[in-house]
Amino acid sequence: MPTSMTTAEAITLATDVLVNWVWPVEAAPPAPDRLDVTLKEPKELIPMVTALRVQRLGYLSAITGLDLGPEDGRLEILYQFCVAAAVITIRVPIPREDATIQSLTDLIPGAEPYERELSEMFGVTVVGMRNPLRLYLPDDWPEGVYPLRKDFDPSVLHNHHKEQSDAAAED
Amino acid sequence: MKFGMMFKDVSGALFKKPFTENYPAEPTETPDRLRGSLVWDPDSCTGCGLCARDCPAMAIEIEVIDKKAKHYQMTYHIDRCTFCGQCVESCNQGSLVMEGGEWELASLSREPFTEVGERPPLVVEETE
Amino acid sequence: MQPQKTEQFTVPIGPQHPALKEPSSFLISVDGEVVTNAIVRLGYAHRGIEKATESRTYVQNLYLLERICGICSHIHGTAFAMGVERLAGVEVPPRAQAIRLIIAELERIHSHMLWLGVGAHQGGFDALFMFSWRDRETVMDLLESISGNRVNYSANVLGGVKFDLTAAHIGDILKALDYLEERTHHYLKVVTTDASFLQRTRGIGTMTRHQAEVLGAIGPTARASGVLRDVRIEAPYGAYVDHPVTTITDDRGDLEARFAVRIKELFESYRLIREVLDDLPPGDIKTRVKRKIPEGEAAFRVEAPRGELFYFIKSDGTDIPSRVKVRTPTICNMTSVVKLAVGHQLADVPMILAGIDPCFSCNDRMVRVNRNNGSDGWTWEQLRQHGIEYYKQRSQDYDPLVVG
Ligand code: SF4
Ligand code: SF4
Repeated sequence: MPTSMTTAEAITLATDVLVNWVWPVEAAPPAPDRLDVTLKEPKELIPMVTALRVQRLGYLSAITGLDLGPEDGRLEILYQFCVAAAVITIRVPIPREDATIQSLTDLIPGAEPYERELSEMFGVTVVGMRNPLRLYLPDDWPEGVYPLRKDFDPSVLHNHHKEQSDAAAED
Repeated sequence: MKFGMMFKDVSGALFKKPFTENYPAEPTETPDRLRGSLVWDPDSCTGCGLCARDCPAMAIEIEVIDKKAKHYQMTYHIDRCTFCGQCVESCNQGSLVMEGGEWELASLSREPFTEVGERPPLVVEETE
Repeated sequence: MQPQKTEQFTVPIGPQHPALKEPSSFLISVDGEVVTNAIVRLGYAHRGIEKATESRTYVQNLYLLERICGICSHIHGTAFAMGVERLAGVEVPPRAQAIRLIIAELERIHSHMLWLGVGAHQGGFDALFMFSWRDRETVMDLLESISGNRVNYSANVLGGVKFDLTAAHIGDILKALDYLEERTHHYLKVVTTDASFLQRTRGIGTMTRHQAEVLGAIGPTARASGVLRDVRIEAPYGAYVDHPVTTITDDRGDLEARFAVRIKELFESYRLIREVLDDLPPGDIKTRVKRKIPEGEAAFRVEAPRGELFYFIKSDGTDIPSRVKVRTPTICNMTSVVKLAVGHQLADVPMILAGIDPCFSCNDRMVRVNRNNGSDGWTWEQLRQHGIEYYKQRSQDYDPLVVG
């Protein structure tokens, strides 16, 4: 049972599973209770997560989006799995302009709200999402505006709502 | 399985006085540490501005009018203050206190709740 | 299976307080009285906190993040402070850790009691609601006298806590715990034996152990289904390292189990507070943390009253964080609610919802929208028309979607 696993065992097993079994990836433990695995390509995500699931290693605790900024031109998506005190992070860098990633909902149904959040906040297209609706943002939120990206400009909203209320006034 | 498990509580409450307080009509007791409106001691303040810098609600402004004469002005926007107490933590001169007992801050007037305090300039004595 | 459209009827529940007095919207499709599909839509209390952290210093963020939730404010502050302390490589004095634990457990007590009241109220048992809230006042008064604030205690500073516990406080806490313990025994008896209440809870909203694992339920909701998931045990932090917690689990997974687990957890909190107060370590209550936090990333997990709270902090070496990610417990349990509702009577939905102890402010954090910047408001007729159009559009849009 995963619950009876100690943190050190979990890290060892995860290193074994992710680094040696699937295919070689970059792995680094930033702290004794953490393991960061950086994928080269987004398509490696599904096999990696499957490997974790097969071993029943941890549960998906969060999906974190990071915007590395317009200069860097990349987004980084962090899939954080927790077992005991260990946090195993699968880091997937994807280009900012063509941000597409596979959905995990077939493997982990509970990932749905996280993916909905990720796609509306960072503008990531999640392929295969069961329910591509917005989760948090209002229905009249302007298309193509992603609030958690670094170059988000709140004045867009101001103009958007002004246009809307002008249109409503004309009716 | 039983019915009416809370019956005793409910019927007992009929003969007790209400648990709620009749607040504005009767004064209520407050703990000593209750955070109320900020009290500034102009004499010990050095005008460093740390309190204003750390305030999450931007409720404090410290203006140095004349550094030499130690002449500072402090503006406190009570209506913005969240009573978090960080300014008291940040001030290493101990010039700020929140436990002044001034917590009844509701008002019927529409004036902004802003307090302005000023440290009077030091009179620089002429030395011969 | 293609359900016939004519048989489906969609009942919008919310956005105005569907269970607790907080906003969120559920579109429940019903066939007769039986729920066939449920879709959740959040964001009505969205304030843009995650984005706002990127323009404030670490010190200011501590208070901002505390305001994510009014009920579990301390735990948000603690998670953030501990994450930042880890990044800064600062060791917090043991006394501060102990005080953090005591406030966190007091907060858990008040949160569970609040939930007990709300849950009872949803089930139509208002006597229990009134009395449990009356007793909850004891904890609120304690927290007020210790911290000086009734809610948002702001106990944390980066590097420790703001205030110390005096002998008088310790006496007050112990006295209050005795009273609460007696009352809690009574409430446990009420929720497990009162026939009218059991009809609303026994066998309702059952989530099996397997479902709980797959759907990613956490906190008391998961523990009521027999899944041992408690950060205080899995990854002890702060003073929990020296004061281990015994978790309470229940295998039944229905609403009754959720009531029982939460109430039994109260006893565990009482025990823990007594244990910590018994040997409160002497010494300082804070250390200095530099304003600039070294570059790095930290993931920090704590056990909030509703389950695991996950913080991810990325620092780029300045005094402003580059990213703060908050994953609150309710969002994990929300998925389970949506699935559990299917097959139940419509009248059970609020109870099932209340069963996970949802906290919508927790969920909704990220983007603030300044609506109606134009000064012209809507007339009542416009508003009514908009409402009709809005729901018409939504039920058409939503119908073909599958949840689960
Ligand atoms: S208590 Fe907090 S919000 Fe109020 S002035 Fe001080 S730092 Fe600012
Ligand atoms: S931190 Fe203290 S000394 Fe500095 S300006 Fe504020 S009140 Fe004055």
